[in-house]
Amino acid sequence: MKRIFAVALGILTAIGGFVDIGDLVTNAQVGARFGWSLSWAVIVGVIGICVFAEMSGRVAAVSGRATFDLVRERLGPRVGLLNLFGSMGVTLLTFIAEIGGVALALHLVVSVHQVLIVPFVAFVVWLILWRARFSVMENVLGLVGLALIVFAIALWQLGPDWSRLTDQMLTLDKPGDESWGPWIYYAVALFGAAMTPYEVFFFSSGGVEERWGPRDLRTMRLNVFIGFPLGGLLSLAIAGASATVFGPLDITVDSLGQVALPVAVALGKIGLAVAIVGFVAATLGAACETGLSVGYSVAQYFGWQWGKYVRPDVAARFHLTLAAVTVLATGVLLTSVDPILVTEMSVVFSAAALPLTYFPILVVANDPDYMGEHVNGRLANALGTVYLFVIGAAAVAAIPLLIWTRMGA
Amino acid sequence: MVVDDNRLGGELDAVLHLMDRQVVDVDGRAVCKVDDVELVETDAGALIVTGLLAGPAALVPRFGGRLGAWALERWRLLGLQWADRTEPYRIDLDDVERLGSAVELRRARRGLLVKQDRVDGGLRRRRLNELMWMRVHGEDGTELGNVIDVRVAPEGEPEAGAPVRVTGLVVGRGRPGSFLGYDRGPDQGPWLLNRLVRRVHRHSGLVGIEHVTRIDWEGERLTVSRSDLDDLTRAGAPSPPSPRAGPGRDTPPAR
Repeated sequence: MKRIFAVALGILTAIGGFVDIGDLVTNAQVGARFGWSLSWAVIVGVIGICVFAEMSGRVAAVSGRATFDLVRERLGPRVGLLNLFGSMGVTLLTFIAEIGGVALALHLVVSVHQVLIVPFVAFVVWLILWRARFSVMENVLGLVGLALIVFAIALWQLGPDWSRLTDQMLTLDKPGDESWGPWIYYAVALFGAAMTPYEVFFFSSGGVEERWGPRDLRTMRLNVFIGFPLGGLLSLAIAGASATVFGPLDITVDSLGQVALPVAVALGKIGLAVAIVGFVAATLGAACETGLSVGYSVAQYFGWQWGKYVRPDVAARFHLTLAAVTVLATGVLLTSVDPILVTEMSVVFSAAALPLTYFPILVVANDPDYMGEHVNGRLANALGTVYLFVIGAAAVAAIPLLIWTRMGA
Repeated sequence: MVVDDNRLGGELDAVLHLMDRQVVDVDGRAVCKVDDVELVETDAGALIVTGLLAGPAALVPRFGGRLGAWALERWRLLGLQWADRTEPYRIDLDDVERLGSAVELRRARRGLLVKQDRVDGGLRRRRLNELMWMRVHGEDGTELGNVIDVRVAPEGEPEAGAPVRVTGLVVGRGRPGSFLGYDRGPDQGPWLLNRLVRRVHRHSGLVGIEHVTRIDWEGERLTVSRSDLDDLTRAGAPSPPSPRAGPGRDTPPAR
């Protein structure tokens, strides 16, 4: 019974933890402009994150090594350092976006300008990173994040033209009033939103924090293979709701309030309140995860003690890094940069930075020296190789597309 | 090859299996990374692994050539008043309990890291990184490639505390991907990546330390008494009887 509960809890937190500010914004934007015609990108992204997370979770459980340990061991210190700069930059950008997202969500309630809310949010994030137990942080925020299921209910209540949506989903075509440039750009953005590098840093380091062993492989796989796809369905529901409300009116989404609007239309005030609770929990959870991920990567590269399973004074440099990045993120947001813009940038750069960590994990997951009998099987390697190409293509295309389409304009 | 094995009990490739690994203390707390490996050159010319080196003074030179030298100089200038700024920290190999996916020590981490002495009983201390990328030439001047890894093994019967000697050098053309392990693991997947990396490293091979006739540490040049390389095998794998298992070990390279 206890075991079933643990598995269920893991799955639920995986669903709640899957959606972050990048998924919220990108899916709502894409839904409004392209309906479900880009849902293939979400599906490709979700399968990708399953493949990636399963490998890194398995490596963490069997060898006890988290992602950036392996990056340095397999790429050497020089390429590893370049990799650290790239991955950390993208994760930091996501961290900034998440803190901004929490501020935007609170702004919807209190109507105080989000820049004034940012220092408060940053303080709360730092407090959680410093004081809260790892499992409490992950479970509470993940479970409250499940409030976003309200989007699925809203979609059902809105009574969309299901045949039209499924038609868009099943055919590889764009809506008539859009061109192919933005279509492919948003495909890469959705892919980057579903497959952000920090999810894997967090997942593998979290496995080490929770002292996974080979015995926990089954639980880990259940969490990944059930939780993430259900999180992906939530993404599709956000896009579908947005498509139903904004699509016919040709409205583009550029604020978090608009993301929530379909829920308000379908379910009224109560629905809106639940959606905002979901926003706050999902973005706050992701803010903690991204903040920790920056600390994990730096500490793992240099070999410092890291993790929330030890007292902060035992992992002093790690906690100093967390405090420093929180201050840095606050500083960036206080320039009154639009958090939505930061989010859009972060998902595209995520797609660009993905091979940096995917490649070493794929190699180590095959290395009997680390993995013993738990090396990749045929299926993991077939999918792993296919995704090496998919991720490579998305990474190469991401930044040129960003420039060429002027961020999908 | 089981994950629980202590790799130090047998043959291993120092870069593939030891370099850059996480060092943890007896309580499982992180200490540092293996930023470099200390080698001691005996009077007879043999190379023995005696310790692990850590800290920026060990890591920074590994960024390579001019960049490494430049970065090390910046590191020194950041704290001119410290005389030992460019001396790395050192952990004795005897303090290592086990080498797995991490280096596990016998001691607690408090006060563990001490600076490396410059000289010890007339022995010359070298670093693994000094050996890395050295150009390897045959007696007749043929260029065989660069040192891309160093094979080491405990002397005699595998047991704890036996001195770990350098037994061979992995020589390749210095192309990217030599830290991935594919050149030594023909069965390591995924298939496509394996084929690709093995093709890039098809010239890589092994040369026993007994064939090394001269190591020019300053000129970063190494001469061997043969003009070809042995096939590259996985460290610790049973290999066909080769000269390096024979009496060669008693005749270490002369300087």
